[in-house]
Amino acid sequence: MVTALFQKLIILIVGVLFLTSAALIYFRSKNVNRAERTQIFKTAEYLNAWIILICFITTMVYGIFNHYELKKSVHAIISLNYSEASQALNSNGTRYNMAEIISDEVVDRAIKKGALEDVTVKQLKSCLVVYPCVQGGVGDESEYHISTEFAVEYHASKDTDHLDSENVIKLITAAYKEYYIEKYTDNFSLSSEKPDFAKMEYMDIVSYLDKETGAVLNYLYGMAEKNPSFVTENNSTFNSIAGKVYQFKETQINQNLRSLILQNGVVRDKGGYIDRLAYQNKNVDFDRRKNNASYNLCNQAIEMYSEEMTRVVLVPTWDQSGKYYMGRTKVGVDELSVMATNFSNYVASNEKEIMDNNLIINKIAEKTPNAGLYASADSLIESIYNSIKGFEKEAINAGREYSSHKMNQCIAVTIYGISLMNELKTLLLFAAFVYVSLILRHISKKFPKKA
Amino acid sequence: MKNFQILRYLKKLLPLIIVFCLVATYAVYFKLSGANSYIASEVIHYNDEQAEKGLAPTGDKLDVNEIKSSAVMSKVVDKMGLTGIYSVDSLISRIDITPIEDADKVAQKEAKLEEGEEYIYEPSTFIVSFAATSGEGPDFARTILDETLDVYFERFSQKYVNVAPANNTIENLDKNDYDFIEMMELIDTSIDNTLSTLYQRMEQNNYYRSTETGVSFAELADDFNYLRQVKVSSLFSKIYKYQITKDKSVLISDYTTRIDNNNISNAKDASIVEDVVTVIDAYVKKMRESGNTNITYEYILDNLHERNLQEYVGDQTVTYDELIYSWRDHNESREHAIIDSAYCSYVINTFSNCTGNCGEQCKTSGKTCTELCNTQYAAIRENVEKEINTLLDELTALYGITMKTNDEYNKYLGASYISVLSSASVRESVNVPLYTAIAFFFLVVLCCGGAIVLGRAGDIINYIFYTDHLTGYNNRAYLDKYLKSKDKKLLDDGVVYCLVDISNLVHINTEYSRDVGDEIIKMFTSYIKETFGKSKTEYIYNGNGSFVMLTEEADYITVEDIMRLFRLRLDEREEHRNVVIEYKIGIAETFKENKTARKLLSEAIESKKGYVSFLEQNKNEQLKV
Repeated sequence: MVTALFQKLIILIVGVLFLTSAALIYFRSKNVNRAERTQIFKTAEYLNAWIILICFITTMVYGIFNHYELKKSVHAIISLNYSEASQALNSNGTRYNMAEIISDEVVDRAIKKGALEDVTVKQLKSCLVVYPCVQGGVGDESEYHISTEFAVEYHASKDTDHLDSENVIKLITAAYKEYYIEKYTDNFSLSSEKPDFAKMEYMDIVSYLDKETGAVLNYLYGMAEKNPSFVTENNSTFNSIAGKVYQFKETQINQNLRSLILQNGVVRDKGGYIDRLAYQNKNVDFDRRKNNASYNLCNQAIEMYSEEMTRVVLVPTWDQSGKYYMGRTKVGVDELSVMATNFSNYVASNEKEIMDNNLIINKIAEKTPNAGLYASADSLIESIYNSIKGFEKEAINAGREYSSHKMNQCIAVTIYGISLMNELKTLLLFAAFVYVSLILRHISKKFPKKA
Repeated sequence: MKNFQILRYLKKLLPLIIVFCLVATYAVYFKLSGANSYIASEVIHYNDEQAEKGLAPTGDKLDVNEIKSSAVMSKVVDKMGLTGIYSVDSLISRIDITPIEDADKVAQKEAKLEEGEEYIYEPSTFIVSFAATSGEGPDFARTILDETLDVYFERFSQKYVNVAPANNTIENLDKNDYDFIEMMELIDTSIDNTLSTLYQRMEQNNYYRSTETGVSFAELADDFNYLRQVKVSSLFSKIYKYQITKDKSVLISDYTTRIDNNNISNAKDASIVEDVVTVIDAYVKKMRESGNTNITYEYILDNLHERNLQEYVGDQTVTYDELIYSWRDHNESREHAIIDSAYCSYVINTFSNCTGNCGEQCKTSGKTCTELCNTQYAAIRENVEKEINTLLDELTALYGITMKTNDEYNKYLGASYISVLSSASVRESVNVPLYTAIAFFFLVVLCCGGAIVLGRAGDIINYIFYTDHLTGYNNRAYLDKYLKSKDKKLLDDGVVYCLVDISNLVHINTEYSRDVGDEIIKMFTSYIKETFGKSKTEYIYNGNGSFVMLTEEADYITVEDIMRLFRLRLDEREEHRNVVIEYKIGIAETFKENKTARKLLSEAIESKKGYVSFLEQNKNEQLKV
């Protein structure tokens, strides 16, 4: 702020000098005739050494303050490089909002990132402006334009005067880039922390590991759907990694681990677990009965459907050439048949679940595993868990590689500092102003005070 | 009077005109800038084909004005931290939605309507604008518009596309209001509903993954299933096994009431089923009797050709099917109620069952058998309570992730159903530079016109008040005015004042008549003007045969030569040759001590010399007066 004050003060002094000199010349010019006036101007010493010296010193002082003032204003250009940007979308398909570049979250992140002191989010945000580099119009379709480049300007205020402007704009753009990548680019959430397997039932551990592997597979299949032909640096595709994970899941979890636990009745709390499965069976049985009832009712409804009524439900329609024909369409019996089939499937599924649970109950009840089996199971669980973590990492790396390839680093940032040419131009203009003011002052003294 | 010369008039007031126009133009610019507003506009297009029929994806009426609904705007106000600064209504009033019609579709619609055919077309592209005042600036306009559309896109998806809720219904579960088994039932139902919603989402977009949470709907469903399979079932089994309840009597009464309600509902359904069967039989009988069951497809096709039906005519479910479905639904409801009653009986039996350890005290007690005889009951109950709390915490966290994922999915769907054709652009409501330029041009024209009018009026005034009508020269009043105006100014070098007086004008008037006197004055006027030629001179007739010539950019010798020429011209005159004319000539030039007009005029008067023009004797005599 002090520099701005001094800068303005210098301009004010030179301005006052210019105006007073011009006024003096104007008023005193009445004391001389035109020829004398011309003579004064003709004989004035335009290359006075003192004037040049004062002009030089004033310009230099002004230049120093001006440089400090210019340093307070910087701008950066943020370019969106991913393909969805041209549809005004974020890379995850949601609507792009330019205002997020200087949102509270981004500014707060920048403050924390740069450990900026004595500045609040509100104060820093008030110094920032964002706007599209090119904007279209809405008058005509030819004027439509989707902006993909945005300028962020920073102008220091008295609250942020102590901060280095270039550093602030760098922090803001870096924070935005981080924020954008976190929020809008492909993301796969890793399971937070390793569960305490010692407190979990063995069959629950199987379910847990199955769930975790399923998540990795789901991520890989999703990525493969986006780009099935993408090949990573390790010459893998999403499908090839998914195949590997699927194979692992089937052999290691669903066959080896599950079989080991099931066939040997490995359990931590035999009574409790059997009770739980018994409850599940009871609960599933209620569902089975409901599904069975629905299935029977659908069949009964089909039975009672009058055959005469199916005749009139041929639906008129037309073919591709626009000609009418009577199409056979779904009628009540069709719908009911489909429903019956579905309910039948549900019943079968319920029955299978009950049978699975019964099998586990029987095996647990029959067997009394020795300590060696527990150790084997624990060791296999540990090994499977570590392998899943490895698959997670491999999947994430492949995903990141793809994101980087697809989105071309997603966002590009260019920082624009002070332009030396602009600074020189300002200095030259100011020097000319000072010189004219001083010369006018010098000339005004040559005009007589009285006629 | 002087000739009408536009440039002469303008030249005089040009500096003043320029200054005035610049100041006035700046005032106009300042005023326009203050009254100006910034309008941010964005073009959006509804991609769903139903939109051109004026319908949302759900088939409801598409109301574009929802963009500026208070629900959307209040969220924008909250999001931008403008609560208390801006009222929702004030922001709503600044939003404008303009439809953009497809010219081809409109023409097609008009043609169809002219032919008497029905054709529905509604615009699906809109310009959405927000106006900000000049004080608020263009960035405010752009930001409000961006936020408004962000919220609207999400809301659109929530309302018309992704309608199934995935809310946390157990978030505010008050544990004091429910027994353990009821609490677990609520948790189980909540998980069940959430799973149904998640399966629907998976069906729509199996591989959708939130970039914010990093999870897909399938993974969320797996997590809910896992919790249900492991923790929920474990808690249920413990509650059943140890007969954990807050109040056995209340619990048993509750489930007995459920059975009673189911029985009533069953009776009602049985009655409905009977009625439906009756209606079905009657319907088929009537259709058969009326011959409708024998309609052939040829009959239907002929009808169709007559109606030229080409459009989809909506749901064509026949009444008979509806009757069959109704029969099935009511029967299903009855059967399910019977199974629910069986479940209630199971719960009642479980909690009233006696293990035999209590000596059948539990049958008369308000406590369960386990509570009465198991010493570990309190610890087990406490443990179950803790486990329920942990489960609720885990579910709340999982619901949090589900909500976030769902919100992002809404945004994603919103953006896929509504596309942006042109991102937010800001323009000024008034083109300030253009209007300022117009104002400047108008002011210049006005001022120049004024200057011309004033100049011409000056000419007229000058002619009336400052012109001598006999000679056409400026008159005495003009000379007075001139001298007054020069009072505080110094004359330039090269100013020469010249006086010519007809000394014997009174004598001429008496001797030859007044007309001759006037003619002599006119002759002088003519000769003076002729001899001064193109020099920069102002001519004044001071009355009584006295002429004053104020010459600039000249010198004494030049004017003296002019006067010599004048005398020669006078002596060679053709008219009034018989009249002896006596006259005086005085000349004065500016110099250092003589720079004011009055002084110079006095000097000219003092320097007057007398001359006589007497042609009868064919000679001029110079007499010194």
